[in-house]
Amino acid sequence: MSIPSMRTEALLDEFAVRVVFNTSSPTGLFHLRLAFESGRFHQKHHHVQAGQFLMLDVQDANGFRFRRPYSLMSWNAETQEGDIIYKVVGEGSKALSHWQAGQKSVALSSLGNAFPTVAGQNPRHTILLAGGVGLAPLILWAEEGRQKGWQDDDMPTLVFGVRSQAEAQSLLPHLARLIPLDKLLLCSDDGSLGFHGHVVACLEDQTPEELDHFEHAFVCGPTPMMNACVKTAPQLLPNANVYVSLENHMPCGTRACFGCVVGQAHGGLPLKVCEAGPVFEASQLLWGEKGLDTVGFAGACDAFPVFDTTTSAEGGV
Amino acid sequence: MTDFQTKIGSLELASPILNASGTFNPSVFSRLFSLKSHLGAIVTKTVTPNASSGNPQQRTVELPGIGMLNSIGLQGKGIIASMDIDIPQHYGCHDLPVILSISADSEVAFQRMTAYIEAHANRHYLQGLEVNVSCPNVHAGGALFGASPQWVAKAVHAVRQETTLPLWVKLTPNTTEVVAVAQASVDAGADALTAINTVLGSHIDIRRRKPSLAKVSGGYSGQGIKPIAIHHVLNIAKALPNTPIIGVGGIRRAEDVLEFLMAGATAVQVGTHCFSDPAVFVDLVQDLEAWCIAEGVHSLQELVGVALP
Ligand SMILES: Cc1cc2nc3c(=O)[nH]c(=O)nc-3n(C[C@H](O)[C@H](O)[C@H](O)COP(=O)(O)OP(=O)(O)OC[C@H]3O[C@@H](n4cnc5c(N)ncnc54)[C@H](O)[C@@H]3O)c2cc1C
Ligand SMILES: Cc1cc2nc3c(=O)[nH]c(=O)nc-3n(C[C@H](O)[C@H](O)[C@H](O)COP(=O)(O)O)c2cc1C
Ligand code: FES
Repeated sequence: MSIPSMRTEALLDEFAVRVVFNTSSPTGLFHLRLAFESGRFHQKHHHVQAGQFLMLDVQDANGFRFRRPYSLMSWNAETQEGDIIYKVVGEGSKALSHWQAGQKSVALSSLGNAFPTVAGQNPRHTILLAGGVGLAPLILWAEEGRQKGWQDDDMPTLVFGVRSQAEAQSLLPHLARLIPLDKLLLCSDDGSLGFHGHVVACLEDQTPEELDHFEHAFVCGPTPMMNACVKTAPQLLPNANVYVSLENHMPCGTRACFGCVVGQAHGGLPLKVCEAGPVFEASQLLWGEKGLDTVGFAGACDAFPVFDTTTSAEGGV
Repeated sequence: MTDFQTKIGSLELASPILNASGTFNPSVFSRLFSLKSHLGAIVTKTVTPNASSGNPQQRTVELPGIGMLNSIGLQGKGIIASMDIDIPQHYGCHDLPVILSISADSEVAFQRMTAYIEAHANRHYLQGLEVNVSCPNVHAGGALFGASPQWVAKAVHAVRQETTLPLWVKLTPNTTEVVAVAQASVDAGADALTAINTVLGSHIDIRRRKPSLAKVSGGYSGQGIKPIAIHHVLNIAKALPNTPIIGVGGIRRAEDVLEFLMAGATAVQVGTHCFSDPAVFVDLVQDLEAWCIAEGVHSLQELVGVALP
């Protein structure tokens, strides 16, 4: 059964943020805590739901940069502090990695939709499939559940894949606080932590009885990992409705530029990830061989009225 | 209080600061601040006659420090669905004049599209057209309409004969004949000129050893193109002193707006900078006001063209 993902759109503002700490682990994962100070336009508190993102200003003295989209991994509404885990993959995240405690910036937040709440259904029938920093929105969803009073029994199962143990080390205490150990499946590419192999291999290692009860799968991670999860889900998670949270490049994050689009499976124009997502039902999207198909959008325009531009104007419109 | 009022032909605007086509979603920005208090009008994303899925990804490249490249390719629903849904829902509801940006690939398409707009426009908010001529002309081997005075004249004439709405032509800098194209546009019935659209550019991804954009080349915009835009505004203002100019290209700060006004623009549009600073319009208004008070300037229009040689 499909549940529409959530929207809490009205609560958008430009927030002043201050770095509480910004630490790195030996394998290159960074952990940034931001204190959200007042919003510039409404001065209200910051709100976020798991799956939503913020556009963080990472501009340095060199001038123009796009803002960078990030999800929060953890959010404390009382202290108004949120945590980001991130990888240095380019210039923007490199600039971010140099941020020092006390440093200030701004973030437009919160944007996009959220993972569905499983109203009326027990979250224990949800499985979270996380690859690397894709863990962030999924673990925030579990944290929100704890705040709503979910007990150990209610908690979802989490499969968390990393390259090696060092990458996950600093996150393990946080995960263990949220997810009961019997529902936490860790796996690593080099075998240094948990199961030796990636997330799909780890799922293949489970018995059908262990997986058949899942009604929802929420997936977030690198594109090849999400692609593998989506392609194998009909066999491995036959009863699950699969959602993915996409991490596309976003020049604006504000639905203006059409730079972040993905193709739709069943026709229609490409969708802006920042507008229709970042959380999508996987079946809605056009998956190619290597991941989301971004090469062509064949048939995309078929759904729209045709405007005849060939005959002479006298014919009327 | 400084007077921000401006007139573009018959169109009176409360402020000379507008957004540039394709870089601004009013539905998002209006949740941050009042558009009416910070913009003089809203310019839509360019609408084409029929639905278009735009270009394949990768469509944008960031150029740190100077701007960006884009090859979005006018993704949209086409004129019928846009006039039915998007324009009223996203643009027409902010108590501001809306300028509809249009483009087409032939004269006939321009003409028929304009006739459709004329018949269906809600004149309460739709108060002008901006003709984007940075588009290939199918009858000229795909060369840009805006590259040649003859072709642009035909496109503008096709639009002009179907509508009484104020008509702006958005000029491309990707021709050696910018002033001649400007003149031809006015002769064919344009009420004002918007200068400039993006500058052709490319970028190589040295890691992949390939062009970054799937379409290889795209449009360069942002702070790096400001001198190019100022150059064209100056030249057009000199050649066509009676035609209002809307200056656009690389505006980030109040100083940039002042430069455009002094070069001869009566209004300006802000594009790429909206991406890195969604609050830019609020800061521009505040900073312009402060500058005018400090300089004893009572009306922004006093500044238009003062730097013209
Ligand atoms: C909703 C959302 C949530 C996210 N959450 C997180 C998170 O929690 N943690 C995290 O680490 N990351 C997250 N990301 C990804 C993060 O935004 C990127 O890693 C970051 O923007 C990279 O910036 P950069 O400047 O370091 O890299 P860039 O230099 O911008 O790019 C890195 C790589 O992408 C390629 N690239 C650059 N531009 C484009 C383009 N226009 N199209 C396609 N490819 C391009 C480059 O060639 C390079 O290989 C999230 C993204 C989204 C959309
Ligand atoms: C992502 C993007 C999309 C654009 N789309 C359009 C468009 O649809 N129609 C148009 O006339 N100009 C379009 N432009 C050009 C801008 O309106 C503007 O002319 C140009 O970017 C220069 O101004 P700037 O430097 O302030 O961005 C687009 C620019 C960008 C960056
Ligand atoms: S990032 Fe610009 S439209 Fe989505």
